[in-house]
Amino acid sequence: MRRILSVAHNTFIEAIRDRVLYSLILFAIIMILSSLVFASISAEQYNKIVKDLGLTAISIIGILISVFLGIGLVYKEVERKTVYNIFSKPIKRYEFIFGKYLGLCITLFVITLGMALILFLLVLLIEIRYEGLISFYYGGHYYAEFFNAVYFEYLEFLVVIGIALVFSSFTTPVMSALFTFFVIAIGRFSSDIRLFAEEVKSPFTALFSEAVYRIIPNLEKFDVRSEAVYGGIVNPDLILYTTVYAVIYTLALLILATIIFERKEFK
Amino acid sequence: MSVRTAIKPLIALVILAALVAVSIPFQIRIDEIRGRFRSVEESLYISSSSLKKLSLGYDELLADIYWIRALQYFGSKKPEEQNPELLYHYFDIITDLDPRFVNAYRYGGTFLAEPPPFGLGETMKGIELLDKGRRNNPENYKLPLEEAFIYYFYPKDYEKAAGLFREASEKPGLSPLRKASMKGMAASAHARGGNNELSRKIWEIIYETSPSDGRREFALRNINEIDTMALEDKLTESLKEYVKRYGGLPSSPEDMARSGVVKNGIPEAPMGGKFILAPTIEAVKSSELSKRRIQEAIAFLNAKSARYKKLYGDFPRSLDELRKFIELETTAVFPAHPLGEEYIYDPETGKVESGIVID
Repeated sequence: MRRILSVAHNTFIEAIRDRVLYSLILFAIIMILSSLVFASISAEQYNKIVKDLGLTAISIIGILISVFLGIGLVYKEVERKTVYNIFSKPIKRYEFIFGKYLGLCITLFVITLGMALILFLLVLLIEIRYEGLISFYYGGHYYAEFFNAVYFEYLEFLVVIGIALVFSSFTTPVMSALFTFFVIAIGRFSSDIRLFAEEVKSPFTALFSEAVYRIIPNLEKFDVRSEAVYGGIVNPDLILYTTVYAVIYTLALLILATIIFERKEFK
Repeated sequence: MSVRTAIKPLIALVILAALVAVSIPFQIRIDEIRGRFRSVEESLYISSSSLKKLSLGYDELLADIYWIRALQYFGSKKPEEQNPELLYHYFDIITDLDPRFVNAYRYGGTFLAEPPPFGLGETMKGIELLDKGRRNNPENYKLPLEEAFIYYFYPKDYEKAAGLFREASEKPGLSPLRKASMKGMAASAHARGGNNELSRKIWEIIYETSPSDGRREFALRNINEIDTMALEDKLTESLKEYVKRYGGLPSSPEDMARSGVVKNGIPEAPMGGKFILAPTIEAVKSSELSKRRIQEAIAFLNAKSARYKKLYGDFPRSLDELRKFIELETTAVFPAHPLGEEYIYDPETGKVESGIVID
């Protein structure tokens, strides 16, 4: 465990040195400027526009960081040959994979928390200013749902980092990025696959589609952004089950990455 | 390769498969909590489904962008230049992308339904959009309320409007006062549609259940009004019988009682005042109700006359011009004099008065 934490610490420091925290500044600028512009022409839908835009920005920035840092996690070490250095020490390959993953998760946690706080301040400002209107139109402020939405987005990042890590352990960064985005796109439309399974007449195709639906990452399950605006179904059960699902799926991805990485030969 | 080395990845693969299998019950439970899988709606098969796919799951943001585009479209064009089909399409897309965006149904539905110059006069399209909103947001009271107003004012389908007012009043989370208001609107709409019996029943419920004294008083006033109207109808029937029997109108309702056409004398009007004859329309009317109706009609006509001046710089030159303005350029109708008499109009001041004064 100590060795995993040590790798995680180094990965985090490396990410900070890569200036990924600049994304926070980018996020703050995007949010403040766009909320000023869009909210003013939204016909009184201020909080909806700011929340939708902000949560989408957190999601997009988080996914981009997860993918682009995730695909380099292993490949960079191999390419720079620093991996020889690492494995000359008493560190196992799975510890390396888990440590790398954990390091990036911590990085993403800091960034997501930073972005969420910036957005929350903006939402608070707007909701205080238009208190009556927002209660009338939306029936509440839904602050808990807001933080739930951010938490669910973070769970999605955890899965995405896992996917990127799997690809990063056997192919080049460009291909890893392509594959990861491809899987994200499929994962975002998982319910379409399920719908197909329900509609199709052939039992074999239906079973196959159902199996695909269960195996691919169901990223739609991490989207409760709409509840941050309108309130709704984010109850403790949903939070618990979604968290467990994310953890299990990520664990599966990490094991897959480890299997691939274990078989890799470094010349 | 030793057996031990060969077995290691196999074990890992078994664990991997087991983890995927373990995740399935959690997925099933999440689907149950979230009401099956979310993106499945009827919109999946229409044009906006491709937009949904393009949005890569960021449907709400795309809906916001379309919302702003729709607002810009309203703002940049005169009503006569706006294409109702395109506007409906915009709102259809917005609400497919974000089915819970209640304000999009409300604004879009009202703007489409309202006649020019305030809207596009596409009443059925507006109603269609609001119907979709009601289906997607079954707990929201604003959508049936908005749709009820549209049915009330434009196609003037009062029964449909009453049904929608009632539907709105039954939604969860409404304050008792708001619930009572909407029930009141339903009752008024029923009365307006001629269903006085149902209207009275609703006012009775409001009277018995409302926590507010003011609201109870209002309900009682409406009950008295409906009862008065029922008596007016009954006495008017008797009047017809009198004319048939004697070949002419009586000099007063009391004559009908004296002649035996009305048994047990002329009843007292629940609203107060007395019953009077309206010879022009051959009817018996309540003096209090008529007085109130005349006041309302005159206030309405004076307001329209002032509106005419605001638009055209001067008051209408005649009552006929005012009538044409109301009928052609507003959604209202020119109110007939409640007693069938004439209005007196002064083009200098733009004021309308009743041709008859009730004591």
